[in-house]
Amino acid sequence: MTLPAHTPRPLPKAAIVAALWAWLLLLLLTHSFDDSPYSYGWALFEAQAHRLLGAVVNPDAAIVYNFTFFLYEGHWLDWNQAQNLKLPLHSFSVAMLVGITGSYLLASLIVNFAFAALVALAAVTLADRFALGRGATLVALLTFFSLPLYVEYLGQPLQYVAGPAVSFLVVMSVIALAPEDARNPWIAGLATALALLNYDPYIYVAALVSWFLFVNRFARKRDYVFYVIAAALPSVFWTQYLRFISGGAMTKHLRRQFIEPVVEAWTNFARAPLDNILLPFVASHVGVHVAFHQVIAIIYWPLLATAIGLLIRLRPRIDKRFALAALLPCFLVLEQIVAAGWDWELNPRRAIPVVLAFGFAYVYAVDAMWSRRGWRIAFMALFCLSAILATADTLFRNPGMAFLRTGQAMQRRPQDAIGFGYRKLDELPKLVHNDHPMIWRDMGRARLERSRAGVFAVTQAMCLLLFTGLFWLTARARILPRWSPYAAAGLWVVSLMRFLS
Amino acid sequence: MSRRTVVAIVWAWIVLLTVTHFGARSPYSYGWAMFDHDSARISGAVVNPDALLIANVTRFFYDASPLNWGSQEAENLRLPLHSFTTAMLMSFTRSFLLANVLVNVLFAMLVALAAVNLAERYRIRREATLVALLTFFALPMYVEYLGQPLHYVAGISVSFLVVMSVVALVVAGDDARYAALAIAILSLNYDPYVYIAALVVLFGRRLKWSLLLAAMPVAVWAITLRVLSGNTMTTHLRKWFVLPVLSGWVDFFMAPLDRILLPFVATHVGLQVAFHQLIAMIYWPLLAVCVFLLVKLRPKLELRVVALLPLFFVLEQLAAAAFDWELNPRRAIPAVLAFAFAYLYAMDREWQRWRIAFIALFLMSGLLAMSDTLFGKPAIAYLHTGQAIRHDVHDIVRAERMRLDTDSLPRLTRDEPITWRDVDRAKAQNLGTFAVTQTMGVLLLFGLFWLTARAELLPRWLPWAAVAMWAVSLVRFVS
Repeated sequence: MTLPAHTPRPLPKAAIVAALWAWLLLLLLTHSFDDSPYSYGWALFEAQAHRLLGAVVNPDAAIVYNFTFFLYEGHWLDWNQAQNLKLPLHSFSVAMLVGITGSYLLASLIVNFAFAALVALAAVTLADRFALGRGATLVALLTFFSLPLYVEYLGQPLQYVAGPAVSFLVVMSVIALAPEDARNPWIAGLATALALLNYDPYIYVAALVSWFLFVNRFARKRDYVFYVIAAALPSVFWTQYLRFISGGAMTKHLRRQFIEPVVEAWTNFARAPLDNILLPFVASHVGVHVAFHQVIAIIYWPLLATAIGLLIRLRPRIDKRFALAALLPCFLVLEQIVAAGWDWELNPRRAIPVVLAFGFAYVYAVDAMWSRRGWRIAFMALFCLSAILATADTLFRNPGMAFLRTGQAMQRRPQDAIGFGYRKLDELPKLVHNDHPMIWRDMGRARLERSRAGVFAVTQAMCLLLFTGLFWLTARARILPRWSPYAAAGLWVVSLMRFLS
Repeated sequence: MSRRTVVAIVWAWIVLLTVTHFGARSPYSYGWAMFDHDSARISGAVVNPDALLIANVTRFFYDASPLNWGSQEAENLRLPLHSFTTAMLMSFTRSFLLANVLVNVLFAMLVALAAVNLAERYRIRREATLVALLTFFALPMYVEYLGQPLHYVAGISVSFLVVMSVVALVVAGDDARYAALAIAILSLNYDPYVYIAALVVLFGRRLKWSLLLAAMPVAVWAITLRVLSGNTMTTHLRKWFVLPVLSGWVDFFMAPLDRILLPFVATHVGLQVAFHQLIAMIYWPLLAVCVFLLVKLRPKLELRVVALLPLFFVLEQLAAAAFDWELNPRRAIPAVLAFAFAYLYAMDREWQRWRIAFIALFLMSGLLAMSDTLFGKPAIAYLHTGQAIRHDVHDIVRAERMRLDTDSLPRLTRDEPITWRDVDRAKAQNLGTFAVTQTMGVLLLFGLFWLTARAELLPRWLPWAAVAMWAVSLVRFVS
């Protein structure tokens, strides 16, 4: 007797997306404000987190708050605290939603969730395009969204979810673009411009520029000129505009803290290479070490080991499109080789571009091995492991995982992590809790001073262009719905009701 | 290029590295000044303080001089080959320092000779063998220890010779017959865990009862030491390195829910440490090129034992690094041997296309190895320290600014006029102890060379020459 052939019905795409969104929502709810590792992490180092509208947040959130207020109604801004103006999309989106919800905290959470949800939707659509199995896609993406990047920042009113999401959407779009679009210098320029005006753009921009110029070459020589213009113009305009409206007072905090020490050190080397002859090797040694540490801080090592092992085993041919993803880890290592020796912070967030590359590799590997039962069980076990690690603070009140993702973990004895792994959240003396009740309705009607109307209009126009540009690109690449740029513009129009009621 | 030329050039490179890194110029001596500590002196030469411990053990093998069994110095009795060999050569040179230098150079040379012979067996082109071995001997473990009266070069060499012999014997089809001897030699040598684990897994069930045979020498030696010491033999290493690891994991198993993150956090630390140890022992551009070429060439894993070494090294660190106070990069030495096999293979396969890159990589390695001598800068030595792993990574960049002078390193010490003749005629004392320890030493040395000769890596007469040399070395009691 033979059993009838049984072909399991594939999961509907909507179910996968719903499961991913539910998982993101769960992580958001369990890791908001005082439950966020980026808040209670301060107590690990005997420092106090900040409060914003009754919610415990990372102190950096205060800077973002002021800038968001500036985008909300053209409010006065302390230019010395305005470094986030160089990456306006997050605060612009929050300001829009504040206009609708009247709540800064709620708007921030919605923006974080929405951007992560968009990445999930785009990833599922892209996986469908490459005919990947839906079961594999679901498990791989659930694992992906359990990574520290999301657990750490989903519940913070900060740009760290929206910023990487924008970059991820740009890279996914470029990979998904039709060949003729990918060789269109204006579309390529838009993608690069979006990355350039976003959070920590260096690695993405380096990868995009290298890919457009050397891998996916343009058809005509003049296209290179068009590409450079399209890529650089928004950034140049925005920088000059900020300089103009700030009267030259725009902060150089990031440049002073992160770029100048690196430039100075290499300039010193160039001036007296024989006196510092070992510097290139020593600095690159530090860079390689730091890059490795950053990567395993932000991708649980068993996942990374599995992905690398399977890539070596499967040895995929790297399609020209996916070379873009492969360039990301290369540029992370290069960046760290050059900079880590003088980077005081050594923040594992530098490795976020590698998380995207890992995402591609892992989804591919899971799909390739999904038909084997043993591997299916292994992938599910890896997801369970990731989920437990992601929610360890909620389940066991244990803050050990948060320590591993800090720059401090890289600057201290490696074994210090063990001590933090033994601690309990409630035993941290400086741990603070949200106020009860938190202020969920804090924004009144927006008031635009006439003298600032011009600045407000130009700023909104620029941000709206970037915002709709992002959705136009993703829609063009068919990883988000066609109507998404119109919806984005519509949302902005609706948000103007903040001036009415 | 003849085989002899290859061997001669590699030997000359080893001698040059030894001469330029002896005494105060050894990174393991001046390294102490980088951390504001004083080095020690033996017969006028600046040495690492650990060398003082070795001196007493070597003296014990020379003429059974009394030893403080309960102190840390007696730990090195558990790995007798280095001190036994040095004591032998002391009989001829009557110099502790010279005998040590000779032992270091000789053992390094034997590894070079065996490596060339093994490469010939695999028909590796000689130019590739030469450049690969020159690069290999420019690695930190040789630069750091060649000029020190310590057991690290000899210990490492013994393990390397054993593993190379096993590889050669497995290729020759002799398989598990000699595995017991190999394991026995390793178990009485420096830091053997990774090597032994690799061999046990490699041979698996084929070992059967011979595993008991393999354990016999170490058991006999342990009992001998216990008897000789009147049960006062030190357990320093066990207390410092093994018990903390066991205690860490026992604590976990006693209350797994209280420490539920420990398995992940400890392995995270272990992986991080393993990577740092690896790039401390292998200059990272070499490692990167090697890994890249392996991924590109994707060789069949015929030499499983070689692949097992880095695997067990990582496993060891996953389990132990979180509780290891020292985090010494020397733990990665088995992985260095695996790297050497892989690099030589990759170099041979890609010699036509990549030879300029390989030569450039050797020049870079040579420059880094000699950077203290050429530029008076100790930064590369800093990279090989446990402190570089335990401290803030930025300290490494700060170390780059150091110079090998007292303005930069106030505790830097210089060699005094060296007393090259510091060993007297041996005293006939504790003859029973002397006989037992010498028997063990001779058996081990003979066994090592017999294994390498059987594998046709070293000359057939070498085991007999070693025994003869020992017999002649008894001249120490005569004049």
